[in-house]
Amino acid sequence: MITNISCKRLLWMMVAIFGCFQFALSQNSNDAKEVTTTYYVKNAFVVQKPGTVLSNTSILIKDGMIKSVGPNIPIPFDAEVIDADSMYVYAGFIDACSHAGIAKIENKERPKVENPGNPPKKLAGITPQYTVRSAIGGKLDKSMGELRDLGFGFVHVVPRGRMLPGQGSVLSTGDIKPSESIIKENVSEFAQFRSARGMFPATTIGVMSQFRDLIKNATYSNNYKASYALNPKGLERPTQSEELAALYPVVEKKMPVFFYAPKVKDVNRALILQQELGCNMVLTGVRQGWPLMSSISESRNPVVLSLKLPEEIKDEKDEKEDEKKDDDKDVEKKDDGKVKGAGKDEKKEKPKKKKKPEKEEDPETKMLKERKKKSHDEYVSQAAMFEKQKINFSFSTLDAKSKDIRNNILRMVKGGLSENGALAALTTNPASLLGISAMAGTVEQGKIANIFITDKPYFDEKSKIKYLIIDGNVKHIKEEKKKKKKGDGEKVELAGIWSYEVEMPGQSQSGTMIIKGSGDNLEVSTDTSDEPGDFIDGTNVSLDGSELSFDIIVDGMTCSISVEFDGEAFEGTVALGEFGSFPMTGSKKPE
Amino acid sequence: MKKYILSLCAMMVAFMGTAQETGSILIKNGTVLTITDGVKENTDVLIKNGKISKIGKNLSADRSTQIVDATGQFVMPGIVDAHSHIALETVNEATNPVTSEVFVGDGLDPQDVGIYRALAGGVTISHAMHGSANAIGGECETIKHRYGTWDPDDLRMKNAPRTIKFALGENPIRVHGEGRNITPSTRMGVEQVFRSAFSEAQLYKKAWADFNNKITRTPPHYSRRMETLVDILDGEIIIHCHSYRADELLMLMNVLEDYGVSRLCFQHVNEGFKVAPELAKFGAGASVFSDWWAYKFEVYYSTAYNAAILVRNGVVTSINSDSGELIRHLYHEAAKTQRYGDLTDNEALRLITINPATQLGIGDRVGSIEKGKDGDIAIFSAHPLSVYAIPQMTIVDGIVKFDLKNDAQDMRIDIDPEEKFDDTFINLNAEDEERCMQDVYNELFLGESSQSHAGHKH
Repeated sequence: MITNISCKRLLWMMVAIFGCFQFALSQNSNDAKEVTTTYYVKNAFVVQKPGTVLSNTSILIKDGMIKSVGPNIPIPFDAEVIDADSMYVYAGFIDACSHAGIAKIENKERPKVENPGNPPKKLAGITPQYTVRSAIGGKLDKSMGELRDLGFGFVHVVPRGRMLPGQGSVLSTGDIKPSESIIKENVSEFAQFRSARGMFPATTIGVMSQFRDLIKNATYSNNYKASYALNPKGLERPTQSEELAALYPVVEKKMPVFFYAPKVKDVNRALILQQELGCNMVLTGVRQGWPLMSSISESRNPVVLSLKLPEEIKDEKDEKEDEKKDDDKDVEKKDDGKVKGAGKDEKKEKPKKKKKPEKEEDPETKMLKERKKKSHDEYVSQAAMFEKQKINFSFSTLDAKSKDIRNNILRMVKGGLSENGALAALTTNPASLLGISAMAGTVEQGKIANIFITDKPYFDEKSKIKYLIIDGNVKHIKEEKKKKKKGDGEKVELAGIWSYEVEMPGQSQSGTMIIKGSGDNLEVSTDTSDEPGDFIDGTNVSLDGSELSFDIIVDGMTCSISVEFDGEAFEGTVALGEFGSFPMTGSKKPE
Repeated sequence: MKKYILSLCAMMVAFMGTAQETGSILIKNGTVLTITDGVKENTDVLIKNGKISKIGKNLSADRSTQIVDATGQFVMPGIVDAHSHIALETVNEATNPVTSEVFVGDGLDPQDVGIYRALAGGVTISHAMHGSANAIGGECETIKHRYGTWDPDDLRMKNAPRTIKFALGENPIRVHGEGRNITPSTRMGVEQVFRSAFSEAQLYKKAWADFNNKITRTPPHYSRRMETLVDILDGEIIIHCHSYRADELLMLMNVLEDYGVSRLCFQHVNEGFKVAPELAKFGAGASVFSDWWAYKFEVYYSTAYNAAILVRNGVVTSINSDSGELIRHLYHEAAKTQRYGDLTDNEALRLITINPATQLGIGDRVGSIEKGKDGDIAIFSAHPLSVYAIPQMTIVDGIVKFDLKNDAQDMRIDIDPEEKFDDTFINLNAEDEERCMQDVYNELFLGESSQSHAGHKH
């Protein structure tokens, strides 16, 4: 039996192997140069705010602002007209908390400190003075664009780090200079129960203590500063601590603390701190808050629920329906004539796949499955429970993968959340939470014109975003590219250095993958961030279209890696024998 | 009418405020081991709204009271474990020789199924302790095993005295001396850590007194580390000290005498039998293992007669588990003192009831079956010191928390909706190792903290 540890090592290795593929897939760029900054959205259903839908309504946008909304607005001569007949216009969503745009902090060597019991604040993760402006530097990473494509017009971005990473700012998701995209700066202090590595506070209990210490000292220091300002005679000079100074707005209750509290224990701890320290708090990224819903409700804190949900477990009934749908699809395909030579052979194959012999499940597994499903359903219906309890909440994309976000919103609605409630949690609620209601959250005159247009109502499963209008730029989203068929002759150039990441329960592992050669002569090797430079060569390397697969053998165990490349990124899985398979993602390192 | 109003009032009290959920139970016709008032045969115990309200024959109760027939069974007070690490997410903040600022109550894990397992062994209260990595560790929390809640606050035993973990000997020396080459590198160094910490706390206290009395005008730096130490000096916190060797037991008592601190209970105390009269004179408690030793160098000079010798010398002695496994059969552990030391039934039972309760400063509220005490009860099929005894039912605050006849298969509270069933079984079967040194190696030498590494023993 392979131990946990060696299993993990295997994974690292695998991950490391992937570092570097390059693709020559053409990137479709539809950033046509703008000829006008005036747009006219004609004759749409305008979902002005949750619960208010205006039909046959047009919107005039000029210089990134909504100039007017109404039925009979004249079309200015210089306007580009977007014919939105029978389409739906929504205010750009507001992500109430995210690290979007901020590059992940490299998992560097642990810094050595002289006294781990009293390390420099910065190394201990206490940097409340840091801002988003300094964290983004001159560049936003691609996650901001992914959110924009999902309909998000604004994001409350908070720095990455440990217990006190810094202050959050609200950014517009437009493709403009990051420094110009900040629409409201330093609106929050971000906090989490993330301990320091190998130094105080190294545990949750240390972090709790450190919060109390910091807030108390900030309070004393702030008061002292005030009396010093009044009459400095005979008084020692006040402290110059940047960390404490950054916390003054918090102790004065002028700046809320967005406390990352995904699980029930985090929620409880955050509430304890708030009761003791009395700051304004927003419970943030809450995934499992319902068991303490009454405490949350009593505390009157605004809540930001996470858009991450557990992997979907479908009802058995649904599963059957899905199978049926698949059948229908197959039939459709055949009708289209796309599947050629759909002969009797194939028809025979199908029932084989579906009629799995239904094994008698042992009662213990059955019971565990039921409990798991029940737990799953609770996660999914959390938003609905909060709505019923009349707790004000917004949504955050923290921890959620971009590709899951829309589906998760729909799952929550299926779980009992009203559509208007969901929409409010994505627009008006976060707008007032972040103090940007005058600029965002509804489709009304005078607001920033970050809106999107869908072909069907957003909550219709089949709806698609047709236009994104963000910061005065219009993006027309055409029909989805047809998925490239395997081996359709397109040349894929993978050679280069890539970084990868493998997600395993409770942690992730990263490393570098180097790819040399092309076509049938690919050579792949990987290392891990634990042992950088210790490359292991892959075997059974094969490339099919943009899908690369190979094996890495570590300690006699085979890790089978299979990933699909898309431009400068790839995603796929690492299969580790009986341990299951784990998602793997990666991107190309700049030369 | 009057009765009606009274019961209404009682109901209102029960519903108001943050009152802990309590229940009413009548336990009929058992052999009641009261601990403080002898053994009463064929006797009933009535618990009303969480408190023991009557002990006697042929008691009756109103219709809302649950009746439990204990004919032929033994009824004892809920077992108290003075040294445990169940229901905790983190145990050691091992980054400094003094971490009096941390509090394990901040890291409670009410979803730990270990609580239910303890209940299945008749244990209703445990002392959730910080680990032994530091000379002065963190504050501990006395918890009641109110399993079935999501809210850590429900576990806390309200108004139980504050306690703190100290540690002598090899553990703090290994972590800080050998691990980082700082004081303490020797047993002498450990003493020095105590003395400098207390002296610094005295200065800190004076600095704040001067500021509050307007003698100085600049507030001193606020330090939770120092605040807690000042509270120890002021007698507000009971010290529970991880210890083995007799010379060190004497050392700590000398140090505390110098600083005027008297509330002390030694933990493990394997060489306590050598200095039992001295412990008794100081008034220090001793919480020991029945027969566990030789797991490291400083624990070789040990005897299974330790508990009996301590008891006979007048030391308030208890037997603890320090383990999620031992906690399930502390009644066996107590029985061993009859084989090794001939303690009487009642003396042996005191080791796991009223004595540990006294060491935790809650002896007036739990640890015996007396009118007015908490309705915490364990019911056994035979005398609990018999090897044939099987726990039947465990009651906390008048609420049945474990019932052998109604023991569900899956008592977990928090179900991971993405768990793999293989992991479920591995996690459930994983023995809860001794956790005195949990977190130490992960945090100091590996990086991120993790729950999977049990670390070294004691």
